Amino acid sequence: MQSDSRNILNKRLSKLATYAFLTVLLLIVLFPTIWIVGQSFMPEEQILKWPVQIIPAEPTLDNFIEIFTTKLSRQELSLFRWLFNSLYVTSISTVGVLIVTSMAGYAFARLRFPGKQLLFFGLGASFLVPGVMLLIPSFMLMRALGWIDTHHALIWPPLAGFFGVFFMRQFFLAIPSELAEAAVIDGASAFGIYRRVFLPLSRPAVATLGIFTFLFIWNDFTWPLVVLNSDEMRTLPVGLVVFLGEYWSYQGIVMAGAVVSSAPVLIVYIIFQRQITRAVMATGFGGR
Amino acid sequence: MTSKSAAGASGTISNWTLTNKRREALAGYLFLAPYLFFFLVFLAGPVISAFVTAFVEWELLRGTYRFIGLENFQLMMEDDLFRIALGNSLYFAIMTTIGNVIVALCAALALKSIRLGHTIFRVVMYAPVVLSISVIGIIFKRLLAPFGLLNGIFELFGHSGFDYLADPNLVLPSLALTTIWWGFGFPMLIFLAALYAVPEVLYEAARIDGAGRRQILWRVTLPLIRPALLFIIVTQFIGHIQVFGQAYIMTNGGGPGYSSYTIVLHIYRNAFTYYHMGYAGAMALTLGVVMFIFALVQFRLLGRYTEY
Repeated sequence: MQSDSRNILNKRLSKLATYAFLTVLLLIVLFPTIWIVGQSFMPEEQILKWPVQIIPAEPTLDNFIEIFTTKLSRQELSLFRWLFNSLYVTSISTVGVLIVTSMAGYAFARLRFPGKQLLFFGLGASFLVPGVMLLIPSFMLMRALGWIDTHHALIWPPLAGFFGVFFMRQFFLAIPSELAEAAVIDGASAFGIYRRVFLPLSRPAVATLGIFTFLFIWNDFTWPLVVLNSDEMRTLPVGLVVFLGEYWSYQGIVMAGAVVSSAPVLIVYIIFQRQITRAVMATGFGGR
Repeated sequence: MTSKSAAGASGTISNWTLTNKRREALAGYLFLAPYLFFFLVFLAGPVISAFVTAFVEWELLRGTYRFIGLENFQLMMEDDLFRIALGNSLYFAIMTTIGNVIVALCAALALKSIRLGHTIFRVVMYAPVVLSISVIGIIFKRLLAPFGLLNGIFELFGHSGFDYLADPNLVLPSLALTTIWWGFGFPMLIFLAALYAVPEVLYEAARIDGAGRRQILWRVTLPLIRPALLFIIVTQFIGHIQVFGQAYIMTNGGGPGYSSYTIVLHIYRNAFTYYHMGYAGAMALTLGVVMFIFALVQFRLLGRYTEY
């Protein structure tokens, strides 16, 4: 009897410790975020106060107004330009990735052709090629194509990524073949089956892959830093760093910039967190 | 429909399946063609030219391009900055990988054992992963500044704190902590998935055999999630040894001095500041090939350990 009640006590204590640990971790993640958001709404005088201020005494939108209305650099640019560039490049590239990789994934999952296994593993080996090895040759390729300082350099290379092919293949493999057989009997062509049977069924997978691709391209830093060099072409992450280098002494503006550029991805994440979590847990991709 | 049944009627069965097979193969290649085009141009091409670039002297500014054999690699051996940068990257990658694995594993174990609030904890802890390095860099450059948040917390305890990013001994651990904050959510989810995959019966059996909590962790849980552990350790290490953005943004490209000067910064600077494409290419190839082999070995090991 006594050992029983001790067991229950032990269990309660360990549950308490678990929650305490998770809460500390949660606070470590949240606290810097709250601080940043707080500062972005503070006038400069309050930011500079010591000890550190967390809650804005008199919230103001000045920093946000400033960051959207200042002319960045010599050209007549605003943050909207970089927001637009990021949106433009990322959405075109994402659509391209979805079309190209879902077709290839379908071929690997559903069609028989000589050399399939070999090709799949050959392409898959590209997974293991570290990014640093591709940086310089890809840059030289962009130069040869005349794509330096153009958005082509950001839009097209992601279409070569193997992740989408792998991801879509896994999904297409899981669809019961009876559905396809019915379409074959109806006389549909390979493309017809793909378009009318598999693509509609794969909508959730396409959406998940789309979110992943979008986040990945949107957040990229090194590649756009290397291939773009004029202010009006830059994407938001790179533009922000370059721009803030000059504004580093205006803390409120810097923080407003960080808030503005993380808001879109955080909104996408919160809306689609279930799909994102599930996909990460199932495939092991999407990390840093 | 009509064309297919016509073909079936006119030829023998084997003939019919043959043309059908050919059609399917043709369709397969056609479906693959667009992806293959991009793969060849933007992945296979650069991989091949990476091997060429490493063996040439290629000065973009002077326009020289000539084959020099192993000279770039010789140069690398004599380059002090290369050695410093490699050491820094290794140190950073080891710290970050170990830190990430420990934090992520603890978080995953904790998450698995609770139900109430599970989603909110998980969602918040993964959230930083979706942010870009520029946002992370900006936030933490502020946070770690002499009058930043972290020293503000030290102030509460009457300690004046540190100048994290200006102290040669603190700068790399600070970048590692930043990176762990940014990224531990990812290995956490991978570990969580692995933990859910362990059959509950095994825990029960261990408990019936009288195993304590700690014993279960070391003897049951960890061995069973070893594939996930190995996968995370190797991919994290490969990813973090290529650290670039953190130092580029937070320490103005490797400061103070060369204390946080990483190998990818060195490659970046040689290639895109000095335009020594050949030399930078040789360094990138060396790092790339070593990491590739590392990844390959990992997948062999994974194959061996997955059966349980």
